[in-house]
Order: sequence, then structure tokens, then C-alpha cells
Amino acid sequence: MLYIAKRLAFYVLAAFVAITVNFFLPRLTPGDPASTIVATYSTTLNEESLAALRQAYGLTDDPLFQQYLTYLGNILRGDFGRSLSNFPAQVSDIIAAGIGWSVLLGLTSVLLSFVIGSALGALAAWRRGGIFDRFAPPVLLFLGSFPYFFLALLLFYIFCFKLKWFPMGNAYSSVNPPPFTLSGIGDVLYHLIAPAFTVVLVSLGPWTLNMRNAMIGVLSEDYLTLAEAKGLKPRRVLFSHAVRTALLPNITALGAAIGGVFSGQLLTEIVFTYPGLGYSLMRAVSAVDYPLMQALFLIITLSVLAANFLVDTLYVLLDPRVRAGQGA
Amino acid sequence: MPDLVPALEITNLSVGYATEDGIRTAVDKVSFSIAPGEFMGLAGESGCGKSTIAQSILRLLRAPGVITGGEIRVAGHDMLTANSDRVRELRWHTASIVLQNALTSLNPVKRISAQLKEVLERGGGIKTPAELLEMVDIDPSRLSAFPHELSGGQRQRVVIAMALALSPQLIILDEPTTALDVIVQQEIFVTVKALQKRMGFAVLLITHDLPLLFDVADRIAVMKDGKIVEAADTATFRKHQEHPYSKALLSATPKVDFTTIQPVAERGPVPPVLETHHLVKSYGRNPFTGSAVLRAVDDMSFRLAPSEIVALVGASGSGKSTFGRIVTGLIRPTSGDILVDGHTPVPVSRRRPGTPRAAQMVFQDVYGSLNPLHTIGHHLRRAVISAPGTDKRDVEARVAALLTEVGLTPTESYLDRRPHELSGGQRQRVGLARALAASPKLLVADEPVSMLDVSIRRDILNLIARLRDEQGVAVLYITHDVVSAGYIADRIAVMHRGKLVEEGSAKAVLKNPQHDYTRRLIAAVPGGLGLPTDQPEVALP
Repeated sequence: MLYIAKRLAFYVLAAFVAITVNFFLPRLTPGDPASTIVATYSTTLNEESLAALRQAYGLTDDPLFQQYLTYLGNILRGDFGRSLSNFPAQVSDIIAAGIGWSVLLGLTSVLLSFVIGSALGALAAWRRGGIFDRFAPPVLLFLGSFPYFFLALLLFYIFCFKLKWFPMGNAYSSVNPPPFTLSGIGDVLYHLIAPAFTVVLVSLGPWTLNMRNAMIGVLSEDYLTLAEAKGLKPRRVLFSHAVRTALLPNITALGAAIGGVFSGQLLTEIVFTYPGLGYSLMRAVSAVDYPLMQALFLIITLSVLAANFLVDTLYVLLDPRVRAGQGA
Repeated sequence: MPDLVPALEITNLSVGYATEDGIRTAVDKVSFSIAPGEFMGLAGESGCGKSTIAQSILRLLRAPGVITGGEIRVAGHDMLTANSDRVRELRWHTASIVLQNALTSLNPVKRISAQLKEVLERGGGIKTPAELLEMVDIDPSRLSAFPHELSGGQRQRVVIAMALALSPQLIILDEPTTALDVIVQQEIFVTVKALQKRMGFAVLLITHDLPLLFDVADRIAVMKDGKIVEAADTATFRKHQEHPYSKALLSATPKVDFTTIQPVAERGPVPPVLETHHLVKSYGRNPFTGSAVLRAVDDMSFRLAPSEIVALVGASGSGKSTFGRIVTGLIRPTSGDILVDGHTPVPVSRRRPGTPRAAQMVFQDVYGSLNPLHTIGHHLRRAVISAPGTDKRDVEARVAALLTEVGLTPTESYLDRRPHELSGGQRQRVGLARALAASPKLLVADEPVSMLDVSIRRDILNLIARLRDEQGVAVLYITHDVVSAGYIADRIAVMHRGKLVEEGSAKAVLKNPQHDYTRRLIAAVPGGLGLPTDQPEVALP
């Protein structure tokens, strides 16, 4: 428990640092973005409108430190200001609309590639030198070496455009989000398949290879010989002893992968016009929408931290050696 | 009737390892049998095929190992012709195995109870996990412990409990105590013998340690190059060894020679080469009280004269290696003073090319302490070049001289070889040469022979003694083995839980130990110290 508390304290500190950097960095650059935007309007608008505009953008002449405190307070209340490109929509509303889809696509694809990749890796190591072991790793590496967007475009062209097996974009068919019914969920899943499949295909290689290598290491351990000598069924030796232990390094990698969900699938979301945060980020960048960008960067950073904390906690459950403060 | 069926019967067993040039024979037409309830010892050095036999019995041999012929019957069941499902059924019911490394034979992420239950779930077990632990003298409340929460000895006890769970007729102990201290080793064998008496299983003990077999085995077989060269009752074998190899193996075990009188070295006003005052190294600090969680070295005051060999003896965890690492500057003490050749050791990270290296380390792990990618010549040249005051022109001459000193001649034939082309003993010689490159005043040898085969241990110890005689280098010999300490050292210092508990001339300490811990340490040595024993053999309970 002390271990988890220590980790939590570390992550809270890291989050605080991330927020601070996120606040100061844009303000330290010469010509801070918001005032640039206000300046472009300064000749066409009267004083009153300019003041209103300043206020709307949250531009004040307060000392930097005071602004910082206000910013901290706003973030704690979930107030990220207003979007410039979708003025006067709240940034938090735009993020709220996209985050669900990003999480859905991200978690589905990462978990799928983790499960499939680990299973393939375990299989390859268990039948080491077999046909599967000889062909799977190079094929997966070949797929993984494709640039992300290239594979996405290729799949989009073949399956969505030519064959029309999957929809050409968006996360659901109707204008409004589908109801939470069987057909509604089916519709969402139908839209999910193509982008998720792309991400899985590209990221499968490392999962498989890491699992295979970890398994080969574990298989030569004495406790595996002993498990076999004890007369346990091969299936039990495989799952209860070998996979159980060999999975640990992959679980560490899972934390990084989940954290990288938002940034990693950016291009996939763009190619498949999937309405997630990556798609929002692209629009924010092209529209020079600083408040939205800043909020998105913060979300990406915080999600990496949150995911790593989750994995650290999970690790405590899975690897007893960490509990004693050894290992790790 | 079942008592007439041997617990193990091996007939003409041949096992080989597939290599690029065909099958290399590891076990060559070996036959022996073990009667029910018998304790048999199989002795031999590494590579003689004894562990291959152990694995063949349970059909655990993995590729490239192949059984090429013969027959193995465990309690009457043919292990070699049965299909793999049948073999799996027979495993643990007829014979079980305890592997060498106690620290890695249990799955680190599963509780002890789960790993015991796994076996009991196969059926046929008569005990509960708690009863099994009790049987091997472990508190049943430790059931929910993870392996890393137990000591090495306790872990090996758990494996022994596991091995007995389905009451097999035979248990194979494959070097079960090599990684453990002598006292722990003795305690474990007392337990095994007691259980054997009660439950009547047969034991096949595989080891390189003949004196240990004298203490525990009924019958001894000696293996060399895949063949059994001699097999006899322990009593007979002890008196007379038929085969020259058995004799060689037995005489290779260092014995303390109490007959010669030790010359007392002149300890005039010569300044000591190593001197410590109230040396402390503590680890971990309680954030509230500020007290140390572990004091690895606790108030050590110690002196070592030039050209003296002092053995620092203690169990694992006694702090003896920590002390050695402080002396060589690998770690820094928490408090207290240390002077090596009149100077405080410079931490390795702050060492500059000119800094004299008064103390040099010889490592235990001969396989891990030489980078396998580099040649022997490269290793030694680097050591010579980095030594202070080397004339860069005669590096080659110095390397050759070092190799000659450690007995690796002709030197040219070793320069271009890589570590894997050398035997363990040769590697340790290279380790010694490397340590000597900086012309140290003191060699810190941390268990330099414990990973080597018995027959070459004495050669290395003799070499260390010779280096002392010829070069006047002092030696701090760190070991858990009192016999070798008595063999080589002028003085023995005994460490227990970070403290120096006894110190004196080697033979005086061994003959007449003062501290209780020293007495236990000496009593646990299998076969005794080679003292003329007029009392009958000490029977284990």
C-alpha cells in the first residue's frame, strides 16, 4: 500500500509539473498567441468590443503569477476557456465530444493488439522453431514497418472505398450519436472495425516479439522444469506458470501504449475521419486554435500519466516482488 | 512384494547431445539400481553426465539431449517406452526431483500454497499443504508467502516438501545445497534423513561433494566422462578407493594440515596493509527514527599485515562480501575509518589514471567477470595500460609476465583466445592476472573457487598462496568454506551478522573455536576438517 501511495504522490507531482509547463511555455514565446489574434482585430473593432474579446479569450494584464493561479483554478474546475475556431464553444465541450470516441478506438485497438500479440508470442515461444515461430515474427515486423498513415490509406482505399465493406468515415451513421441499443452498439462497432484493425495490424509486431522473447527466457527457468517434473498438464504449465510470468514486461509496455493512445492514433483518426481527439487536434492546429491545442496537449500528457499509474498499480497485484520494494 | 522392486533400475542407459557433428555421448551405458529406502550418492564433476541422468529418469531431458539406448525403471515402471501422457502420470507419483538452485525453483509470482496445491490436485496426496510445510519444519503460517519472502534454505525445504507430496518411492536431489551455506546444508540433510527414516523413500543424491556423501549416503557411485567408474558401500569406499579417479577426486578436497606447525610471521612495527576502525555499512534508513534497517557491516575493526593471507569466513548475508567491496573502493562505508596501504580507498567512479590501486578484486563468477566478446590479451592489456606507472612500450612484455605468473604458458597461445575457450580454472587464473596488473598490495578474493570444480580448487588456492610467497601480496580471502580457509590462510576472521565474532591464527580457530557460531560452522562441514578422528562416525539423527 505504501508503494502505491508513493507512486501516486509521484504522479500527482508529475501532473503538476506538466500543467505548469503547459501554462508557461506558450506565454514565454515571443508574441503570445492570444494577443496576436486580438491584435489582428484591433483595427476593425472599437475599444469596448476589444475588451470583450480580451475577456472572452481570458487575456488580462494581471501579473503572470496571478494568471497562473487563475489557470490552475480553472483547470481544477474543468474550464479550459473557449475555442477560437468554434467560438464561442467551450474547449471542454469539444473535448468531451471527442474523448469518448478516442478512448473507444484507442482502448479497443491497444487491448486487441496486446491480447492477440501476447498470445501469438506465447505460441511462437512454446513451439519454438516451429513453422509458426519461423514465419509470424518477420511477417508482423514487415507489417509494422509500414508507415502508419500509408497502411491506413491503403486499407481505407481497399475496404472502405473499393469494396465498401466498411463505412467511409465517422463513428456512427446517423447525425446524432446512436441510442444505447443493440443496433446502436452494432452501428458503432461497424464503424470501429476498419480504424481499429489498422492500428492493431501496425502495432502487433512488438507485442508478439516481446512476448516471445520473455517467454523463451521464462521457459528456461528452473521453476518451469519443476512444474513439468511435477506432472502438471502442459496447458497448465503454459498458462499458469509460463504466460503468467512472461506477461509482466508486456504489461509495463501496455501502460506506455495506453498513454500513447491519443497521439498514436492521430493519423488513423484523420484518414478515417473518426471524430476523436486526434481529429480535433488536427483541426485545432490548422485553425491555429491555441486554447483547444493547449487543452489537448494537457489531456494527452495527463492520460499518459494516468495510464502509467494504473499499470503500476496493476503490477503490484501481478508481481509480488514489487510489493516488497525489490524488483522495480 | 513391492519392496523387492528396486526404486530405480537403470540398465545400459546412453544419452547424447545432438551437435553439428552428430551425437556427442554424455552418458555411456550406465547401469545401477537403488533399493527401496536406500540413500545413494552419485558423485562427479561438472560435465560428467550426472545431471543428465537425473533429468533422463523423469524424462525431462530437452533437445538437443536424446536418450540413445538403455532402460530406466522407476519402481517397476518403464519410463522410456511409455507415451508422454503416461510419463506425466508417473512423474511425482513414482519419482520426484529437487533442483540445484533453490532460489529459482519456485515461481516468483505465485504463493507457496498455490504451488503446493498444484501438486496435491493431481490426487494421491495424503497431506494438506500446511502439513507438508510442517513436515519440513516450516511454520504453516508461511503458506501465503511468496518465494522471495523465504530464505534460500526455506525455499529448498518447500521444494522438498513438494517432492514428497505424492509419496514417491524415489526422490532425486540434484545438488540441492550447492547454493546454500554449510550450516543450512546440514540442517536440510538432517531433515531429509529423518523423513527418509519415517517414510521409507529412496534417495538419489547428485553432488560433487564426496565428504558430504560420506555423511549421508549408504552407497556411492563415482562418475567420470559419462561412465560410472566405481560404485561401493560408503564404508568400503571411504576406506579404499578402487579407481584412480576416485582417489584423485577425494584428495583434491583441501584438507587442513594440522601436523605442520605454522610459522608465526614477524609482526614488528610494519604498517598494516589494511586497517579499519569501527567500520559500519548500513542500508535503508527508517524515515521516522533515523536508525538503519540493516547493518551489513557492524563496527568492524580489523588489521591485515603485508604478505598475510587472512580468510574472512561467514555465511551468506554475514556482510563479508560487503566488507570486501568497501576495501576495494566499490562501495563507501557509512561511518568508520578504513586505510588501505595508508590511504582511504578512492571510489571507483573518482579514480584517475594515476591513482595507485592498492587493493584489487578477484571475483567469484568466473563466467560473468570476463566480457565474452574480448580476447584474454585484450582484457589484460587494458588492465596493464590503466595501471598507474606503466611504461606504455612494454605492455606486451608485462602481459606475458602476468600470464606466466599465473601459470598460463605458453602465453602466446592464450592471448587471442576468448573467455569461452578457457576452462573455469583457466578463467580464474586470468582473473588473478588481471588483478595483479596494477601491482596491488592486497588482493581481495571473494569466493574465488566456489564456482570451480573440486579437482581444480586446490590448484587455484595453491596459486594464490604462491603469489603471496613470490610477490609479497597480502590476500583477503572471503569464503564460506572453513576447510579451504584453514588450508590457505594464516589467520581466520569469522563474521556473523555484520560483526567480527572471532579472530585468530587459522589452526587455532579451527582446532579450538571460541565463539558458538564458529563451532556450529565447523561442525557443519561434511566429513569434518580432516582431523584425526578417534571417535566413531557422527551419525545424523
